[in-house]
Amino acid sequence: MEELRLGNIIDLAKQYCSTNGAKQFLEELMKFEKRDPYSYKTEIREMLKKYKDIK
Amino acid sequence: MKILEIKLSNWCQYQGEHNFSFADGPDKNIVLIHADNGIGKSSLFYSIAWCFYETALPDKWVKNDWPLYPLPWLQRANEGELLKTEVEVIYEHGGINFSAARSFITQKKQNQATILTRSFTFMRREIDGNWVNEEAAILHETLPPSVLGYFVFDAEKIEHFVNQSEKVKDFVRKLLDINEAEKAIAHLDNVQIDLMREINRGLTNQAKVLKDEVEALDRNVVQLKENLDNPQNGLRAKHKQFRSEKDAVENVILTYKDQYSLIAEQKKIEDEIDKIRQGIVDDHVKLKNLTQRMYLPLIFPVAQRSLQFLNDKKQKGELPKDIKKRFVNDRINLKKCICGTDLSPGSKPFAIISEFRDTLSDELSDIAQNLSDSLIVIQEKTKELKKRLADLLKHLSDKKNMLDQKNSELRTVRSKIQEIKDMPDIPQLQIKKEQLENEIESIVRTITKIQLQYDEEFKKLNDAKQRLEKELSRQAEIDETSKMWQLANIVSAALNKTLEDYKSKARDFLEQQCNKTAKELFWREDVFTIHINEDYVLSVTSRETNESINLLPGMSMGETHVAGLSLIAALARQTQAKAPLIMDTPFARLGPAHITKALSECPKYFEQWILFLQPSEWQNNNYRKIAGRKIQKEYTLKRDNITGITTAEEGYHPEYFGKMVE
Repeated sequence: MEELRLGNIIDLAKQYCSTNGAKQFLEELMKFEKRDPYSYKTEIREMLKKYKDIK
Repeated sequence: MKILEIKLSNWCQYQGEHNFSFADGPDKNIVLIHADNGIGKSSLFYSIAWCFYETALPDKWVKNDWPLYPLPWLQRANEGELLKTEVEVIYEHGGINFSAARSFITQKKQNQATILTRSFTFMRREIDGNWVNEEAAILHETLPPSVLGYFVFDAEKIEHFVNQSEKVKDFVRKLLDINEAEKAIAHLDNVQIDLMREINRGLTNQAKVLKDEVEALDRNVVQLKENLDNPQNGLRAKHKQFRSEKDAVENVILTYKDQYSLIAEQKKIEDEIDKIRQGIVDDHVKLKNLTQRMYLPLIFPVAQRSLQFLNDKKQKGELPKDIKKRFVNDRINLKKCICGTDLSPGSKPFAIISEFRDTLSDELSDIAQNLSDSLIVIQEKTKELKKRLADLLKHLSDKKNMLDQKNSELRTVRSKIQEIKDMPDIPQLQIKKEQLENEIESIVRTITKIQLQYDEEFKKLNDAKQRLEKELSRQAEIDETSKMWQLANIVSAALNKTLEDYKSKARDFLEQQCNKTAKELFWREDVFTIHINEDYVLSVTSRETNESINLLPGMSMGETHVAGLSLIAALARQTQAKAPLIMDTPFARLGPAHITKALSECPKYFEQWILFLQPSEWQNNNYRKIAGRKIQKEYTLKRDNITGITTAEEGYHPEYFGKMVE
């Protein structure tokens, strides 16, 4: 059986991101989620503000 | 992630300072720690997990509140003595060196140990070699606490790990970031809801309306300003011009004021002369009228003589009235009228005749009376006329004198005027000055009015601008919010698209990798097949038996360990997990063949493989031959029987096995 190439979920999801900003946001978001944060809305909004204008 | 150094200070059996350096060669990734049971192998093993995440200690230690400081110290320490326990782990990840150090201070109090303080530091080494503080979050990203237990575990856990599908599922989800992706999607959904709410609240056409308003007001203000301040034909310029002209005219008037006063004086005198002359004419007319009425005195003597005559007659009783009265009285005395009527007193005829008698008059008497009255009036009137005439004559004389005087004054003034040269037309100038003053007054009123309008419009303009600014700012916020929503949407959609497919692929992939790894590491060729179902329950089948039977429950411990190691190795390969695999007595249940295979193949799957081995797990010389070139560092632990302190000696020292060091 041909070996499956799984890849990393972040890299795979990035393929569906149309902008560099989206890709960067995705990476930072996943790093943030790995910390298992208690609260998230403020932090995610800050990340969105940071990357929203990056094409 | 590769551990480079472990520094222990008063940790468990390791009283004093103990360093374990693993940094030796980039191509080597096996670290061996040899020790008999009870020497301190597990203590060293757990120090790594404890350093990273304080809670990562074995349950039996936690339940029994197992002391992490050296027990011999507590026995020998004086009352109040302090001891610092510290574990520092230095590791490399992504080309950067990090240091995690956890410590606590213990004090001996009444033969008991009291923990006073605890601390944790996390640092990064810069290019210049200096250590700087770093966010502990980086450690979380590299080796999250949730997956720590799957890379740092003892041999007992392997068997449990294999049989607990929930743990496997959980581990896979964590290692593959599936948990994080699902959380990210849920969080993004919630944030998107908030953002959309904000966007919906703000969408109006208000900004355009306000812009139009500001533009219109601005035009008004500019126009009003232009009306006021245009240097050519603005009101203020005109005002200035008129004032200037008026000042010029005033100056001329002032300059010729004295000279002009002569003209005014001349005019005044001429007017006075005219007035006097008119007065004289009027007086002449009055005089004429008066003189015409002076006939009255002429008739006075005639009237007087007539009156005298009549008075004489009256005195003599010769007036007709007197004669008649005598006759009537005679009749009354006779009590009989000439006609025979009885004139007795009290009778009606008596009353009538008496009345007749009393009212007797005659024209001459009336005339005399009138004449007398008239004479009095004539006298009075004559007196008055005389007085008036005298007054008038005097008045006339005064006027003539005044006229002469005024004529003289006029001559004087005229002679002075004749001496003046090039005098402007002052009256004309004064008219002009008055006109200019009127213009100025009118312009000032207009300026005031327009200034008020301007101020009002300017205020409205500023208000409108503020409202526009507010609205534009709000719109900008909405635009910003829209962008944020869009970005969240893109990433959420990307994760959603990836996730479902990834989840099922992950399971297939894991199964494939598991079988591949198992084949490489342990199995006899194509005998066993590992299956992992949707719920991550492991099963093992064999082509040698009915392939529907799960052989795993009946497998030996060794074979179960093989399956476990295969799974872990497959996961490490699948996830390209960067954590080292740290195992305590990993080969206890494995035979030499499996151990040989593991030593040969496992290093391919892990960044670093740290093995804590009992002597029995390393008795075969072949092991060193196979693993030799991959061995990064090797230590042998020994324990001092007197002090109870464990120390480490670099290298493999089997002489320390099975006995205590004196």
